[in-house]
Amino acid sequence: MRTYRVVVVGGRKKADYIVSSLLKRKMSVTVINDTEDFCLEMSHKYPHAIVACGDGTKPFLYEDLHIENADIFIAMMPSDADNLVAAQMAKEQFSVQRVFCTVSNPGNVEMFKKLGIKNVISSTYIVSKMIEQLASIKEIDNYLPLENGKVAVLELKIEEDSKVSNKKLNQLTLPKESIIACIIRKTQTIIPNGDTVLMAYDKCVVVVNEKSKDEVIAYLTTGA
Amino acid sequence: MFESKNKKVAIIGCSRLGATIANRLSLLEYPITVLDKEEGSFRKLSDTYSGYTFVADAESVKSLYEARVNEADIVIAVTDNDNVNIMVSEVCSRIFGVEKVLCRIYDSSKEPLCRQYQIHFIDTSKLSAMEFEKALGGFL
Repeated sequence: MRTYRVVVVGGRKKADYIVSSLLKRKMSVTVINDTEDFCLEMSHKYPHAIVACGDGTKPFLYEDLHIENADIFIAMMPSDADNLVAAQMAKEQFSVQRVFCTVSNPGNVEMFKKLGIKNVISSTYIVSKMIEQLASIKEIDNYLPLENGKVAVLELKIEEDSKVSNKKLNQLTLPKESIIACIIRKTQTIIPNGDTVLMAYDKCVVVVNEKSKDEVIAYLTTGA
Repeated sequence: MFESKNKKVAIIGCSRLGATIANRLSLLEYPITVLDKEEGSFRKLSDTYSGYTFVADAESVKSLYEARVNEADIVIAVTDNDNVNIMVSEVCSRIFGVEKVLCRIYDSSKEPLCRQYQIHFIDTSKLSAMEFEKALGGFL
C-alpha cells in the first residue's frame, strides 16, 4: 500500500491532534508552523513527522519540503488571507490532490468556495450553530450542520410519553426529506429498517434538511 | 491618468503607499473610499483629502460589502500584507467583477500565484531595486 502524504500548515492544538491521528494511520506528515517553540515541541513529540518552522505561505518552503503532488494539504493559520493563498498555491502550483482550509470569519466560507477552494471549514460557524440549536431545543442532544446548514445530523431523545415510542419505523409518518439513520439504545447502536421498533429513551440520529428540520423535531419529540 | 474622473476608487489599506495614492487621486477629484482596520492609519491622509474613510478588516468579505467596495470601478489593494492584497484582489475581480483591480506585493515569490489568477500586481520591491540600479548607473 502506498503511503499518503499530508501537509498541515498552522494551527496549534488542532494541528497537534490531526498530526497524531494521521501518524497513527501510518501517513507521512509534514508540519509547517511559524512558532518556533511549537515546532520544537512537535518535533520532540512526533519524531516521524517532518517539522518546518516558517511562514506557511512561502512557495520556497513548499519546494524545500517537496510537497508537490502531496495527497492532502490542510491550511489552518489564524489569518483567512494566509489560508486562501496557501491553499491556492498548494492546489495550483504544487498540484496537491485535496486541499482543505479553515476560516476564522464564517462569512468567508462561500467566497473561498467560489475562489476554487472546495473544502472550507469554519469552526466558529459550526460551533455557534451547534450551541444555538442545543440551547434552543432541550430534546436535541447533538447537532452537526453540514453544507453550511443546508443539511444537518441531529440526535433526538424519545421521551417516555412520546406517541412515537413502541411503533415500528414504517408506521411513523416522518416528514419527507428526513431519515432516521441510527438508533442508540443504551450501549447498542442499531442501523434500523422499517420493522425496527422505536422505544422510549432511544436516541435517534436523524438526517434532516432546512425544510424538514423543525417538523422532524416536533414529530419525534411530541409525536404531533 | 484614467479614462474618467467619475470612476469610484476603493483603496484597501491606508499604508504609506495607500495614503499617498489617496491624497493624489483626491486632488484629481476622484470619489474615493480608503479602508483600513485601524483608525489611526488615516492620519497619513492630507488635510485636502476629501474622500471617505472606513474602518474595517479587509480580510472579511462582509466588511468589503459594507464599505461598498463591490460597487467600485477601481480597487487598489495596498495593505502591508501581500496575502491580504491577493485575497482582496481575487474577491474584487473574480466575484465582485470590479473593472480594474491593482495589487501591491512585496514578495516576488507570490508573482506566479498572481499570474495564475490574472491579478494585475505591482511588485514594489522589484521596482525599488530597479530604481536603485538606475541610480547606480545600471551596474547592479
